[in-house]
Amino acid sequence: MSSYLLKLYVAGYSPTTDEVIATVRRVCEENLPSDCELLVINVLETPEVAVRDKVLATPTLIREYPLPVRRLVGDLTDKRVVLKALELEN
Amino acid sequence: MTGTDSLTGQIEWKVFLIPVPGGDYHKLTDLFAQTDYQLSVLEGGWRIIPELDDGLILLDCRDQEWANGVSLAYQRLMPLIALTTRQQAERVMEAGAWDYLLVDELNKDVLLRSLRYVTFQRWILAQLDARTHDLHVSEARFHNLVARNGDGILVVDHQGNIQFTNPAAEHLFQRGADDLVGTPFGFPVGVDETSEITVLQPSGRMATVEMRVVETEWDGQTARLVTLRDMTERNAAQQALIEQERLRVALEKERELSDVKSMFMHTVSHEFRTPLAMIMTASELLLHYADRMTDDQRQLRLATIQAQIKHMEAMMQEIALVIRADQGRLEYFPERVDFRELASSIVDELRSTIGAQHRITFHAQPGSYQTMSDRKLMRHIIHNIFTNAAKYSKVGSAIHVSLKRRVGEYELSVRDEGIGIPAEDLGRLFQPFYRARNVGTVSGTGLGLKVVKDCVDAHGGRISVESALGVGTLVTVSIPVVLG
Repeated sequence: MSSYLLKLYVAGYSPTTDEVIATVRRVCEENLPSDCELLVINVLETPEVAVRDKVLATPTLIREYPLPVRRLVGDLTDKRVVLKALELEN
Repeated sequence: MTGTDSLTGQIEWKVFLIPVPGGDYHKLTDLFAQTDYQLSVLEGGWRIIPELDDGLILLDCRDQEWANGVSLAYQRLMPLIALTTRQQAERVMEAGAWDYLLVDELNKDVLLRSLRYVTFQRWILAQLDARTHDLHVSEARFHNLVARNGDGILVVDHQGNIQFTNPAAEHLFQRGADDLVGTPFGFPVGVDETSEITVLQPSGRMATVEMRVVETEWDGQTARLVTLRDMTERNAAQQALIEQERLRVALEKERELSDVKSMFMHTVSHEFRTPLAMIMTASELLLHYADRMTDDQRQLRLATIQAQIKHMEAMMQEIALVIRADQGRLEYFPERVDFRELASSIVDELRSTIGAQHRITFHAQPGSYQTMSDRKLMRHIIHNIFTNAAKYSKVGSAIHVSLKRRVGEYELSVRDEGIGIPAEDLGRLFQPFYRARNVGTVSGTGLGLKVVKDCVDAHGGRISVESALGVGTLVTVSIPVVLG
């Protein structure tokens, strides 16, 4: 089991979505342990997953572990903002 | 003093005595007579209390049912002073009396102090009541603002859980407040910023929502106030507007195209008539009188026919190029070139043909002129600008061609000393078949500069024309430096 699990929920693919995915991927690669796992979930393809995980809006980023679970929503295209919200940087 | 208490501002409190049967109240009545308080005696025992709407109750608690009266007044927040004995005083107060007077120890000071004290308490209670009411009104007003707001409003705690939601937010999420409050929304990032999110509704519908986030406080903790505005309909309306605009542009283009077509027909019929007539004349002469002509004369006629056919062919090519460019089908094949070599070789060719009767100068700022360019289109550009310069200026006048290196682009300029272009016509030079009003008898199609513009556009460059009547014209073309 990896030490870090991030789930990113997006609604379809658009330039903004691509930017969000790229930003979160960069956070994984540059700021998190190398075994960090990132799941990108397209709620258009698998809406039942969004329902199961109670995702109210996209883009949503959930850090499943390490605990506590953190859940972010909004403009995730700014790496600095994402890092700060995940409390990885002040 | 006439019974107005300076602090409470209360005028003459009425005091209602509820006596016990056979009670002696002479002392009490005497004492009251020395104060500004009015004492009335009510018969009927404690049951009369609900009928009193104002005033101060003095209940004689030596009655067996005193506790009923005290608790009734207490529940109704009515000020009550108990007339009682030392042994009973404590119990009376515990039951809810505001104060007590000892029947056996009555004097004016004690009475007045008690009355003042209770009146003051009553006043404070009234103040509290009024302020609570004001608070309720103001809260209701704010609640109304939030509840009736068209924007969805959420308060989200630092863990990302929803703490508050208004009806608009419930509508947006298609979930009730019971369902929303306590569930995770996610910690909204981007304080004081606006971002676009997609809200997933249980029905599967998605709403495009503009989210604004501000820092706030909720139950003493920092939280985020999230405003959500449904943009789905506005986006749809915007989309419709864009679509409409696109349609309008397409129609306009269509109309322009048909204008171009009719202009084309007009120009073709006009411009082709001259060479056709010359060909006709020359060929008729050859047909009927060839046997009477010298070889040279025959050659001259044949050369005329050839030249006119070439002229028509060139014109057809330009028309084809303009039509292709208008349809976005102009072929652009860039290759690595030295822009100075390319330009100077084209100018050299023109020196001996169209420019043969002008003084031509070519000057290039030193340095490298490497870029990507389509040779064929560049030939069109320089050829047409140069031809215009030669056609609309006197024999023997000068044409200056110069090359300059600018930041990120090369600049080619052609300056003549010709007739110039009227200011009113400058704006329409790049319209197909448009010719300035002062062209006189100089022949032309009105396509030259349009061709130049299309070829410059294909290079991603810019063109500008400056002109003064009778002084000359300066055409400047800037071609971006592209290193392939």
